[in-house]
Amino acid sequence: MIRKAADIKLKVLPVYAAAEHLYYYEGPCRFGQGEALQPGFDGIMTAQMISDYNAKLKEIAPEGVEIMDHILLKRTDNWDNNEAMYDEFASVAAEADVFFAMNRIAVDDLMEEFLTRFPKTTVFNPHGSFSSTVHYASLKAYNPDYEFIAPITWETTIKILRTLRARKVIHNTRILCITRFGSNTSFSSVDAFHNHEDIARRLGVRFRFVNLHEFFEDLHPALPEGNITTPGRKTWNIDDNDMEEVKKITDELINGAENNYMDREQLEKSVKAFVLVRKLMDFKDCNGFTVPCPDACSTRRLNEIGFTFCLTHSLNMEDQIPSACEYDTAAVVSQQMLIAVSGKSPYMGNTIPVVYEDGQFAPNFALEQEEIDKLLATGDTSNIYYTQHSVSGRNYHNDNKGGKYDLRPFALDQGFGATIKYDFDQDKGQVLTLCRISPDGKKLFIGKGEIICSGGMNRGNCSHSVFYRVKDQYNTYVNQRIAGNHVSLVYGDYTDELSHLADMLGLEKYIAE
Amino acid sequence: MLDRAEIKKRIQYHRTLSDAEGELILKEEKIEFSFLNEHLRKYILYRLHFDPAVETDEDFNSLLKRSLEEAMAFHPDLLAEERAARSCDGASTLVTKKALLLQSIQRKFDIRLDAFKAVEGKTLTDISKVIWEAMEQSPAWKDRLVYAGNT
Repeated sequence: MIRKAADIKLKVLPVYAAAEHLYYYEGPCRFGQGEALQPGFDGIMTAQMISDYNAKLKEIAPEGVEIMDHILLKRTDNWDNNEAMYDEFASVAAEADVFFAMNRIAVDDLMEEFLTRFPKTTVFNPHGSFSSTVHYASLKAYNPDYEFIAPITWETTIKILRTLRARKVIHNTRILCITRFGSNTSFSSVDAFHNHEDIARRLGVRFRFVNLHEFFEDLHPALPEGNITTPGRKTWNIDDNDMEEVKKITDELINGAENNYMDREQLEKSVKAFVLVRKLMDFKDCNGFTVPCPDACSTRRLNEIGFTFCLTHSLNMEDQIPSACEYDTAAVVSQQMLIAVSGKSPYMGNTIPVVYEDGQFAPNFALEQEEIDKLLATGDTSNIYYTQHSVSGRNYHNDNKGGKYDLRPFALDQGFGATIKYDFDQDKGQVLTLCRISPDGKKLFIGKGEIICSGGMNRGNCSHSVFYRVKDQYNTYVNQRIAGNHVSLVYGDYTDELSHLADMLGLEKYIAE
Repeated sequence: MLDRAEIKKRIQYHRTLSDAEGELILKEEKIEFSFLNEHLRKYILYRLHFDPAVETDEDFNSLLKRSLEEAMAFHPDLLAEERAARSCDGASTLVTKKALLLQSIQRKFDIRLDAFKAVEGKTLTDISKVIWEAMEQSPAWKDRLVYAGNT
């Protein structure tokens, strides 16, 4: 099963605590007058406050956050504290990812005992209670690592819940890695994660492997004697049902394109690779993907079969499944972070500053006269950056319409290797959020830009790019370089959410100012 | 702003009318839901200083809000009971006003409401239903309830 980020829910258990006075009296633990001092009043007040909090939580719960039925820790002014109450709530507490806590007076100790018996990330109600600082101080003294979060606004609470859910998504990321040589890094992306075990231990991300040559064999219909690489074994070869899916996806791609420069037969080969990747992801319960392009390329089997993995990455990312070129496991996790906080489709690629010096743009891969003309036409040559790989999707606003795109072959001589060329010109001025996690998985680059134009729309190979303007080019570069080359991005400003996520994952932040 | 004495007089007048409606319910030997609903509606509306003969709003929360707004406009210091009952839990005056009204019903009829159902009741009839259910649970009331029509 492929558990996409959208399928991963954060289960929030509202935990309330309240006391009920059994007699009429006034004094230091009893405020109010008239009816409010009579037995029975506390129960109604508590019910009203809980009802209001439950309604508010349901109203503000961000996408992917599920509010469970609340529990109420109760006592009377006998100062009772019953074991049966904890027994009753133990199983529901275990089901929750996060507690949302609120307590009235005279029950701080009950809440405290619950939170220490069932330690779990706790968000305290943002409004109006002295108990937030009481619990914060007390729980931190009990255990400095206790994750007790005490915001003071609902706006912050929403961001916190969204970020906690994003962290759960990261903890549940399973990356399908197709390998040829080593399983840590490929020959091109040495800035991918260096140590999978350490990443698994600290971030919860897991890595599953498939051999590259076995993958190639699965692209053919199954043979009675099994594939050459795994004789006699039942494998996941493309079958008739898969081919129906291939034809359907191919039709959709062709029908939606502004311009199609590919033969249908060549396009189908790339779609077939995508369908097989999804089949293997499903089998391996993965929700992320990467493959080493150069290592695969030099086998000459991509050339022999006639496809590249560009389209696979495009269609995965478009579907909000992180999918990175060049065996870049760090880019997969970076994309997953963006997907988790934004719910949008990412793009990724080689990312560097476009430097203007001595009256001209410094030469680089993505910059030809077509792009130079567009950049000069803006009248501002400063603070330009680009991200380049031929793996764009068709819909970055994640609406029902999608945007304009062309289909072009990667391979110029033979015309194979489908690539989608989304026209970023149509989104000029759109704000982007950039991010990348470092090879040691300990630092997170966070940046922001504004789209200027597309690049490489009329060229083959890995030429596609988006150019954007950042606030300060050198500052962005200095913060990016600690994380590495492939930067992932989504539309919109999610820098705050990423900053919160970095804190919650214990990552050092490198935020471009 | 009205004279303070005038306001007190008006409040007392409404309180008397409200109590009279409560007494009618208390004195009725056999009670149908329609009877309870009719007199409880008047009990609540008088408590909130509305005239049951002309009031058409059935929304409990809306009535509470309007009543509170009017009280604040006339003489805010008469809301002392609501304010004092806010305690240090961060409850609003509106919340305490509602709780105090429901508490007055509990005490008037010596019943124990299902607090969550009571506070989530949207209309005056919803409140009557919660009270009817509480009466069904009460040894003092349950034999006096008559099931005729839709309850």
